[in-house]
Order: sequence, then C-alpha cells, then structure tokens
Amino acid sequence: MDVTLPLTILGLILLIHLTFVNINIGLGFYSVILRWRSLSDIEAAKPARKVFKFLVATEVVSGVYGTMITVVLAGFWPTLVNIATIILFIPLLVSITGIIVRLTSIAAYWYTWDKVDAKIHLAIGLVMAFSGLAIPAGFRYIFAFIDNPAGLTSLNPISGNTIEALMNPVYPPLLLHTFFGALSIGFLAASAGLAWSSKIDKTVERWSGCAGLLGGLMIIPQGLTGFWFWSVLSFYSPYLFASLNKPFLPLQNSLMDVSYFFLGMVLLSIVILVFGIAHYYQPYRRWTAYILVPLSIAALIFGEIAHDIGRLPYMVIVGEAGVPVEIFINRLIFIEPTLIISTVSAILFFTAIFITLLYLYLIKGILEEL
Amino acid sequence: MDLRGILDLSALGIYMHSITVAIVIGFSVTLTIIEFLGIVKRDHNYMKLAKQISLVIVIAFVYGAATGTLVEFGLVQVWNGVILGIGSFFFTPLFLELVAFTIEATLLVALLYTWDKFKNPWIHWMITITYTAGALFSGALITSVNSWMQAPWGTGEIVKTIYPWAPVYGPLLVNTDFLLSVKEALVSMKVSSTGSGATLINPTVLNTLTNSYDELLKDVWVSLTSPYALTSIIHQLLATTIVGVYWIAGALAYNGLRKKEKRENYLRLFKTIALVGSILLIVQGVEGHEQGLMVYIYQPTKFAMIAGLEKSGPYPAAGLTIFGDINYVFKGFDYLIQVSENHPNPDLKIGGVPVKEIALADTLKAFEKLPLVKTLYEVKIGLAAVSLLISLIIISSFVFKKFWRGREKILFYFGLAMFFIAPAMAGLGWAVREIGRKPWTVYGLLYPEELVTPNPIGIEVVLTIIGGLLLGLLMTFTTIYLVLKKPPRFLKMGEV
Repeated sequence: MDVTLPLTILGLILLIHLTFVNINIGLGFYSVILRWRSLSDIEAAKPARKVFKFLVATEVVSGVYGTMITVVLAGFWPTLVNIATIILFIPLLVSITGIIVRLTSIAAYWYTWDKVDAKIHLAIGLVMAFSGLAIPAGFRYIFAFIDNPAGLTSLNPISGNTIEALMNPVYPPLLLHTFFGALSIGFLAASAGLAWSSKIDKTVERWSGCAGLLGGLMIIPQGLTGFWFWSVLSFYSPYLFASLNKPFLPLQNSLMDVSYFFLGMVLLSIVILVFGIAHYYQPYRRWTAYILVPLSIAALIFGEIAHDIGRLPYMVIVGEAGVPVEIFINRLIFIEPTLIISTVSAILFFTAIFITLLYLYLIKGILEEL
Repeated sequence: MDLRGILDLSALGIYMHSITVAIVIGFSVTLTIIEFLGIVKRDHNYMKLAKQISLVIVIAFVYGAATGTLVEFGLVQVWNGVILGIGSFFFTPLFLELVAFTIEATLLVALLYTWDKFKNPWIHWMITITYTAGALFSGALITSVNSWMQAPWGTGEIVKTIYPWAPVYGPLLVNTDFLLSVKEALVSMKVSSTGSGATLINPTVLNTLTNSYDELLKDVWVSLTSPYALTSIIHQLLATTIVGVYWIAGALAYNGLRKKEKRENYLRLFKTIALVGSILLIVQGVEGHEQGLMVYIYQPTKFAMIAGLEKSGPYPAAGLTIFGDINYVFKGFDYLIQVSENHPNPDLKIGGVPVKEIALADTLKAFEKLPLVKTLYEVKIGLAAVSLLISLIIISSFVFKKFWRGREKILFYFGLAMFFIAPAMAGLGWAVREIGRKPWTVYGLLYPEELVTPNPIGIEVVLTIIGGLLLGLLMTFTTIYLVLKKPPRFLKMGEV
C-alpha cells in the first residue's frame, strides 16, 4: 500500500491535535495563575474566567482529534501500535489517567467557579492544569521511542523491557521542550484573546501584556531544552540529527533535509521572544498579541514537521538508519482511498463548522462581553 | 492479576462508560422530542427542561469521552490482539465513528451555546436532531464492532470447520489460509505456553502472511452488513435510549413527589417522557424477538445457555415465537457435545491439537456458563415483564384520565421504579450478551488469552483504572448536581 495518503492524514490530524492541545495546556495554566492573582487583585478574576472559557471551547477539538490519532495509527499502522502499547504500557497508562482527570477536572473547575471557596477552587484548578501535562508526559514516550526504540528487545514475538523503555534518554529533553512550548503557545493565545477583549474592557489589557511576556519568556527554557534535545539526538537518533542538520553536516547520512523547518522554528522563536516582551511594555498595541499566535503555531508546526518528516523514510530510527514506514503499514485489507478521503473531508467540514462557532462564541460571546 | 480479573476490570470499565452512553444517547433522543414539543406548544416548561437536559448531556459527554478513551485504550493496550481487528474487520466502523464523534462534539457545543440565539427556534432544533443522529450513529458503529465479535460475519464455514455445531457466517470474505495460519500460531503459542498471542501481531508475522496469502479481508464493510449487527444495533440503541428516557422520567417523578406545589407541572412533563419510554419498551419487546432469533441462528451455545438447555428439548417461548410450536425441540448442550465428539474432521489439527479436542473442550467450557447466563437472562426477562406492565399502566393514564385523577402519585412511584428497573434490564442484557459468548472473545475463533497483553496487570493498573473511573463519576454527578441547582446565566432558565 502506498504510504503517502496515510502519512498525510496522520500528519494533518496530528498537527491539528497538537496545535489545540498545546494551546489548551497553556490556557489552563494561565487561567489558574490569574485565578491565584484574583485572590489579592479582584481585577484578575474576569480575565481568568475568560481564558478558561476559551480553554473549554477548544478542549473538545483536541480531545476528538486525539481519539482520531489512535484510530488512524491503529488502522494504518497496527503493528507499530501493538509494539508501542506493549513496550510503553506504563507511559500510556499515565496518559490515560491524565485524560480522565483532565476532562473531569475541567468540568469541575468550570462549574464550581464562585460556588466553592476560592482556595478550594484554585486547588481544583491546579489539578486541572497539571493533569494537562500528564497527557503529553505519557504520549511523548511514543515519539521518544520512534526516535530511539529503548526497551525493545525483539520484534517477533514482540518483547521488551518496559522499565528500560522509561529510561529512554531522548525522552526528558523532548518532554521538557514540549512543556515549555505548550505553555508558550497557550499564554500567547491567552494574550491575543485578552487583547481583543481589551477593545471593550481596558482592565484586561495588562493581563494580555503579562500573558505575552510569559509566553515570550517561555521561549528561553524551551530553547535550552531544545538544544538539549538536539544534542541528545546526535547520540541516540543520529539519522534524525542528520536530517535536521543536513546542509551543515554533509558527511552524515540522511535521505531527508528538514533543516529549513528546523531553522525556521528557531528564527520564529526568536521573533516570538522579542514580540512577547514588546507586548508586555505596550499592551495597547494589540496587533503584537494577534501576530504572536500564528507565529507560535507556525513554530510548532515547523518543529513537528522537522521532527516527524526528518525521520522518513523510516518510522522508527535505529542508529543511522531505521525501520521503513512500509514495514508497519496495514496490509490486512485494501483501504479504499475514497473511503478515507470522504471520511477525513467530513471530519474537516465539521471541524470548520466548529471553528466558525468557536469564533462566534469567543469573539462575540466572551471576549466582547461587558 | 489473572485473566479473570482483567475480564472483570474490562467489564467494569464498559459498564461505567455505559452510564454516560445512556445519558448521551437516551437524553439526546428525549431532548429532541421535548424541544420539538416545546416549540410546537410554545411551552416555557418544556423548553426549560430541554435546556436542563442539554446541560446534563454536555457534562456526561465530557465524562463519556474520558471513559470512552479508557475503554478505547483498554482495547488496544490491555487486549492488544484486538489491534488485528482494528486493522481489518473494524477498520470501517471505527473510521466512520470518527465522523460521528466529530459531529457529536461540534454540534454539542453549538447546541448548548445557541439556545435562544435564533429567531426561528426550528434552526436550533435542527442542530439538536443532527446531534442526536450523530450520537445514535456513533452508538450504531460501536455496536457493529461488538456484533462482529459475537457473530464473525464473512468467515463463511471457517468456524464450522472447528465447531461442527456452528452456523455459516455469511459469504466467505476472509482469506481462509491467512486466518487459519494466525489461529494455528495462536494455538501453538497457547499449547507451548510461550506467552501472549498478542505479541504475534508484529510486522514480521503479518508481512510474511500477507506476502504468502495476500490480504486478510476482502470486504471492509463486513461488520456493518451482518444481519446480527443490524438487529443488535436496533436492540442496543433502543435499550440505551430507554434507560436515558426513564432516568429523566424518574428524576421528574422524584421532584413531583417532593414538590407538591409544582406537582401538576412535573406530572405533565413526566407523563410525556414516560409515554415515550413506554412506547420504546413495547417496540423493544418486539425487537427482542429478532435479537433472540439472531442468537438462535448464530450463537448456538449462547442460545442453549439462556434457554437452560442442558439437554435438547422444548423452550416454549422461543418455540412459539419462532416456529409457532411450543413443543418445538431445540438443540441443547447434549447435542452440541455429541456432534463435537463425532467431529466430521477428526484428523484435522490446529497448532498440533485435533479440532475435535478443541471443539469438545470449548463446548464444555461454554456449558459451565449455563447456570449463570440462564439466571441473568431470567431475571432480565422478569424485569422486562414488570416494566412492560408499568408501561401499559402509564399508557392507560392517557386513556383512562378520570380513573387516574387523584391517583397521580402512583404514576410517580412507577416512574421511580423504572429509574432503577430500566438500567438493571439493560445491564443484565449486556451481561448475557458478553458472558454468553464465552469462552471466546470472537465467537468460535479467538479466546481472551490470545488477545491479552503480555504485560502483567498489577495493582497499580487496577487502582488507576478504578480510581480514575470513580473519581470521574463522582465529579460528573457533583457537577450535574451543581449545574442543575444553579444553571449558567446564558441559558436564561430562571428559577429551577
């Protein structure tokens, strides 16, 4: 089976999912930060609620697309999913727990607002925010595994050491890089939302500036952990490292060149840092906040493309080569491209409806409300 | 934890998930009807109830998504072997399920936030009915996946080759050599105790098989075209809807009994919803016959279990409805064991084990479940008879209005009873469906031990799953309570 269509669909769904997930994680933390500030500064209460409403509205998309990734992966690459679920049993359990706690605590945080003591509500908010981190904490092991399949000892029959898999050296920098990236994107999304809101309510302007600053500053630890990740790849995933640095390291063997995406991500990150700080000092210039969101999403997409396309034509990197994508592709059935294309088109159509509604809900319903 | 414990844990997960499924599906059907009546009658109370129902659906949907994720991961993580099915027999329904899920998720948000936003209220109702269609579509697709495991449609005579009492499961749409090779490897692994069969779902094995035999499945729509699936979809959706409808009716009955001053209003709403539930129950009674017929045709061991047929003999209820003869003699376990002993292919072996031995051992394992399944089924049928009686009583309140004047409290008590009876019936029905297909996970083809993860399931996993489910359930009901007590202002519901 030709792998182009499955890879395109997986890439598309993954990017939509990751965009919303990252925004949501950051929004959750910013809402809790503002909620905490509201204990001493009542003006922070309103933006805290607005930011959280933003999260609630978008969480659905990330959840739905998360489920899609599981089905797309298991449908197109069943053996890869089987290997991952056996070897990464513990991390996936962490993610599942995270999902349950996250969704239920979002509901609890939403509906207990002003109905329980503020400190109890803040505690629920902390559970909500941190459970958001638990989800990538588990799933990022899959990415670390396909960069460097630690713990796998045999493919037939599948066997491995689940504890050794936890010690994957690629994982810690990848996870931290993800965390700081998520916080950055989410804070910048909050900054843009509050900037729009400040057209009517000037009191939220400074909170937009704070979010811009925090989102911008997160680029610093993200950059440091990114450098850590980059250097770890040179040891444990040399093929991917070579794809990232092909023009600079021509001696290394890689069939892909994703250095432009990699460099693009780095450059965008620098711009985000500068604009984020600038917005803090001049929050009345709303356009800086507006531009930060697409910039941060572009940086995320560039980073993911560099990471995932850089692995091709392999699905799992083993040293300077790997296991090709075709090895894992589903050959149990003939998958009609028309079925896949029509299904994905319907999904995208309803997603477009949702985003339109989200726009109306956010812009007209929340951000401009008095 | 042993296999028994893992099966129990999975059952717990599915049952807890089904609570939210009943709310999401049953409440959405009720919401569609109530909103329709509210618009037609221009009745504020109907609209207020519709808004309340939509709020509960949103909360249940969130929790349902969480527990659904748990069930989904349970499938791919604890029952890894099922991945083989996801890549073949379940591919189409699960892909379509993504569309249904997207429709549900997007329209649910639209539904909640567009109350009173349109000048023409029918526009909102169109969102509601489309959402409901999405929820029912989703339920239908998942039921079709379960149904394939009950009756593996498209496998032709393959099951019959191993179990001589088995029927033919439709036209042969699978690659027999491929499937038997997989079965051969699984049985060999089981016999030699070298580990879980799930570890064989790897690129080396599957690519070797596809290189040798080509694709496993020729028709990707197979799980949606099976007669067993079509009947099950109607049966399961009706059962789920009935539970949801009676939960709303029960809540209204409780309020009607508690709040004397608003009793008239609650009675009106209760009677409308209870009427819907009663009609659905009667329809389910008719449909139950079709489901029973499917079990009789496609699951001989399960039929013998529910009919309590240790020995062949009459089962009057089925004899009358299927053949019009209460004395019709159905085949019991004595017959199933006998034909296994006199296997038509005594020399055939799978994984070095004679099929005769496999057939006999598995038929005896199924026989062991007879007392349990029979008891569960009889209790279920008993409850169904009681609920049918209650349904007729509720319907009578619309016909004999004078008789019921002053006796409304009795109707409320019946509503409260149905609040518990309806889920008990559905739960027992599901237990019969699931336990009745044992000792197989895929009837006649695959055992649970061939699909389970090779990883040990420790106490930490059990605690995580049970803890997560309980925490989620607790938070869900707390949130529902809080939200119904003080609804969001944007819904403009006023005093509740």
